[in-house]
Amino acid sequence: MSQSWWGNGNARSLTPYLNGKVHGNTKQWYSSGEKFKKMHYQHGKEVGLQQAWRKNGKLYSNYEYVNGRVFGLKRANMCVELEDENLLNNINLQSVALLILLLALTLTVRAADDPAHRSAQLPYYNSATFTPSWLNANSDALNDFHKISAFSWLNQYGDQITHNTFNNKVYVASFFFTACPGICPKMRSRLSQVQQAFLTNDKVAIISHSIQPANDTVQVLKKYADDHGIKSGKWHLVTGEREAIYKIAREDYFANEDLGEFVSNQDFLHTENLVLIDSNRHIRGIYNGLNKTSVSHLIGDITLLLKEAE
Amino acid sequence: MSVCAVPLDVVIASQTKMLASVNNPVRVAKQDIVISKKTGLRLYQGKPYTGDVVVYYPSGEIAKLSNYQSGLRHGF
Repeated sequence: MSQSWWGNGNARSLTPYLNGKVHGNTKQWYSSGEKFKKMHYQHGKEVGLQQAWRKNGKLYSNYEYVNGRVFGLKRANMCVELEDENLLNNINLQSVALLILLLALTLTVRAADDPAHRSAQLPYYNSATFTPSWLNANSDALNDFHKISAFSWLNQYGDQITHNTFNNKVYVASFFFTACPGICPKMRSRLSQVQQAFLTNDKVAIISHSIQPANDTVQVLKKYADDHGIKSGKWHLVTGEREAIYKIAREDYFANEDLGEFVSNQDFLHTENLVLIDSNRHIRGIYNGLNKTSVSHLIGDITLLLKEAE
Repeated sequence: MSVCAVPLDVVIASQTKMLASVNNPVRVAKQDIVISKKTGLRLYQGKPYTGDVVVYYPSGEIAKLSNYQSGLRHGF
């Protein structure tokens, strides 16, 4: 066991070890006493549910490690409170550097897309915390399981796009606005990879909802699509009633403030997450649209869903 | 429950009296431990360490306590 305490005497971490490797449930707290992280390890590797909270008690990260892969909502590590400087002085800097190097190598290896570690099945999600539900496709529990409601939007060609547009299709949903300078272009280029991977497969589609629908008219969306190689019939940029878009974002796709990061937009919290929806309008995956590995998982998972639908 | 009620420090102190010797301490400060460059094991006086390693704040408050067995972190 390794235990540590904050300078004020509060518990800081509790870590069980087996022969030099983290093994079992680890816990971490903020210096003020609130819980920070609960993780589960086996022989040094993350296994099972892993959770982290903000100081205000809101869930920040919530995911499951299954067969070496993340399911659920994993985000970049929060900046943790810095160690007391005096405590840092006691640590050999060389060993810290070595440790960081080893850690970086471990993470690189783990992040690598290893087909042998691919899960053969995808979970279902029914809440904004994105805790995976591992159900069979024929499970009765799916009868009244959370699904995306009916909708009706206009795409970049002025065509009506409804839930029926995605009948018998697997689709990826995202939220953006054309004037967004920061993360949208990065997400767009990741989504372009998804478009490219399934260009000739009409069972796969993408829908990007404008969160500034008043500005993003059909004409604006058309120009945006033309400028960025967004393919007709494959990738729909949609606009509609602001209220309806926000409602479906928050209540159906769970793209709310608990999962997205704020950007400098006066009226919307933006999310970099992509949500994967199956042909029954169930949520089957959440991915970080800025992260290469996460998007490569998305592409793999689309293929899995297509097989499931066969 | 009377055993559990004994403060940890007292237990450690009594163990220290019984077991501690120069070559076989049960609790040492972090700065007396080195990490072997070859094996990565935690060494005390050149040998893989078994026992507790402690780090204190300058105030004297405990900052970290880890159990080691044969040079590796161990224990639940």
